[in-house]
Amino acid sequence: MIEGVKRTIELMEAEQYIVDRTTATSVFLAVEMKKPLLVEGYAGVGKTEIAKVLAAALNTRLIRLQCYEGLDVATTIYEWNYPKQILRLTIENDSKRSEREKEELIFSESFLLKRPLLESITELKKSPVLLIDEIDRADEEFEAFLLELLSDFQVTIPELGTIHAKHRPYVILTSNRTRALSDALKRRCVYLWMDYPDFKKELKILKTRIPRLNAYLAQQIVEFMQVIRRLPLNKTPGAAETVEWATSLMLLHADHLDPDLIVDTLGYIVKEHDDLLQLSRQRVLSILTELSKLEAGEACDGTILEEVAGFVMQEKVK
Amino acid sequence: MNQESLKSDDGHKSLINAIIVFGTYLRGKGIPVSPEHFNQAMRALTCIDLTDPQEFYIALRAILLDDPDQFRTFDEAFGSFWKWPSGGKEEIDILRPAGAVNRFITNRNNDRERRQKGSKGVEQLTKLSEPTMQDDVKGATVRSNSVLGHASELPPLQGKSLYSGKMVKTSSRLTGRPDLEKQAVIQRMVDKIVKQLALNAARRYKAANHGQRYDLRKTIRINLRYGGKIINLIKKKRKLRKPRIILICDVSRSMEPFSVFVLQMVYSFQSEPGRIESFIFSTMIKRTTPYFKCWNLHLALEKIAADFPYWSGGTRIGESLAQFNRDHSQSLINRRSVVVVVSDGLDTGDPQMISQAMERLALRSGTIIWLNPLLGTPGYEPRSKGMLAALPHIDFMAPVRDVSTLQGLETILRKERLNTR
Repeated sequence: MIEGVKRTIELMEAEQYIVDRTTATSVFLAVEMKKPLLVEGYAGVGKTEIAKVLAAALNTRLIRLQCYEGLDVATTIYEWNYPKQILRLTIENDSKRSEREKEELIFSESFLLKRPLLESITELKKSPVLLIDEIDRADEEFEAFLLELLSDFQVTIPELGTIHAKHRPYVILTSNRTRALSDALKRRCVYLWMDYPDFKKELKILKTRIPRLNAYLAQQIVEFMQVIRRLPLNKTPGAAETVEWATSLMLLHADHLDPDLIVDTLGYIVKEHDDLLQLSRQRVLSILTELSKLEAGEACDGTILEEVAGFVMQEKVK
Repeated sequence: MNQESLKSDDGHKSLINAIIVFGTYLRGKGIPVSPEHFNQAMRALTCIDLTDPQEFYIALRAILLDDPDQFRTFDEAFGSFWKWPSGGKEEIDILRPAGAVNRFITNRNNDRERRQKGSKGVEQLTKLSEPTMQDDVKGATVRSNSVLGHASELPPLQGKSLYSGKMVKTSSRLTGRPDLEKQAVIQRMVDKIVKQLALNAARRYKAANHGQRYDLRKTIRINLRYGGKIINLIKKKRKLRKPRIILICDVSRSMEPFSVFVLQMVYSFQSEPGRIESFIFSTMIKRTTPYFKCWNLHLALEKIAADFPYWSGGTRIGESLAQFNRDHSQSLINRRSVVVVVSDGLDTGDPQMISQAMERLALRSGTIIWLNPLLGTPGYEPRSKGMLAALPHIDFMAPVRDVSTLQGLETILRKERLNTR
């Protein structure tokens, strides 16, 4: 492993973010090659957090643009402060200024509302981290002018001229894969796919985020979550849900899992009615039974559990 | 090759060559690798530790790929292409990647030969005399190119069946061949229909916004000439939004007489702007959007026929829709979506499942339109168990089985104003 990647892992884990090798290498490459990083993955796996962590690690500002359909120049780059302009014009009504002077007055920087993209290129001190969150929710037109910005890092405002970036931002784009992004955009980026964490990673996440969590409970929680994720749920829970659930269990002073406890706190991991129905008390009980057989070293049935069994056993051996 | 030798010209060159060959190899496996990618890959490799296979792998993957669906192909290709020395040697053997390369080059030459022969093969196939096809099949092929074609890449022709003229075997499960003359007419109808659907969405916004919005920017500009007094108020209205349409088509046995027409219709829909997705189902559902992106209708239908073997099986509307809800609704459906289900409602599955699945679908989407080819035929009433189960969740039902009913649909849409929920 090259120094750079090692250092990246250290820096990110110092910010409480558990990172695997693929993620660290991709982040490192993006920063080193000054290319944007495109992070794709399901909800709740930690895509947005990468940007926050990177900003903290680099000790720089995080500028966030949340995407949705219908984003345009006024919402992403700049807009003139119309009410202020109108007010100023009214005040200047009786002044001796010429029309030209008034125009220059109201189209000056103090009347300019800077939106995230413009903000990101007008940072004075050092390169900020620009997070473009859920780019798949924006439409193709937005992608087109984003591409332009990402290649030149400059913005032209008709009344003010062209503004160049003094410090180019580190750009991180996230996507939930609800639609295919344009090829041109994908080509420009370093690509990172974030999957749900595996047993080892998830356990580490819990231990880092909730240090005071009972070790046995933590293991049980992760085992349970790993099984749940392989069920055909409508909305599979991510790592964020695991942490929330663990916190709630800790607050309830639990030190091990039992079916009633799980059913009572299901709302932390499962957010759809149909999914709730799937995880009936009966089902939960049978999962727990199988998991305890696993721990005792006995054979258990069910293909899901066999999968889970495989890596749980590996981890226990360590 | 190690970090040091990379700095030398020769080392650099041999690595670039290896990357180019690897990239071309990947391209042959269906992963789009562009010349730009080669550049980027080289840049990336100079940043990482070349003696570390895992780092090498991650770097290449992060640069060359952009979709997790490509991972498996990449892994196989990577494994067979790059040779790593065992026993802790510092150097990796990039100069002679693998026997795989030689095999690849030989295969590529073979492919090229086959493709040259193959293009003649396609011509032959379209000339195959069928009782229903007219003699001006050749003319029809040419016309189809001009009507439908914008230059986009031909999907890789796969499978011996295409070359040996056995193509007919797969498409015969679709009764009849696509009527290319009608295609232009169908396209025109569909253009109008989609416009109607888009207009319906726009109208809804206008009606809801009783106040009008003002375009402040233009207002200020225009009124500068009045020295600051606001005299003219410039208004703006919402732009026509591109519709999101999802087509879900029943292609089971009972729908056989209509299948080809329906697919032609879907093909037309897919060429419209906006987010249009299409699916086919009988006992299970399959996403057909990528297939219809092909410039040639024949080929599109070929590939679909080849990849979906359940044409003349039973019908499980409920199960298929449930599968759709599970796998796709989250990413494809929102309140503005128009879901168009094309089916005769004759079901061999569980009506309860239909009801549940339709309910879920209705919850997420804006409008559900059901196109039933049997509607309007004498003696038919939508009373089958399947149809009855779905009825409460349908916003709008209309017949569609040929060009005239398609025309009828357009007329109705123009007159009706779809009340989206």
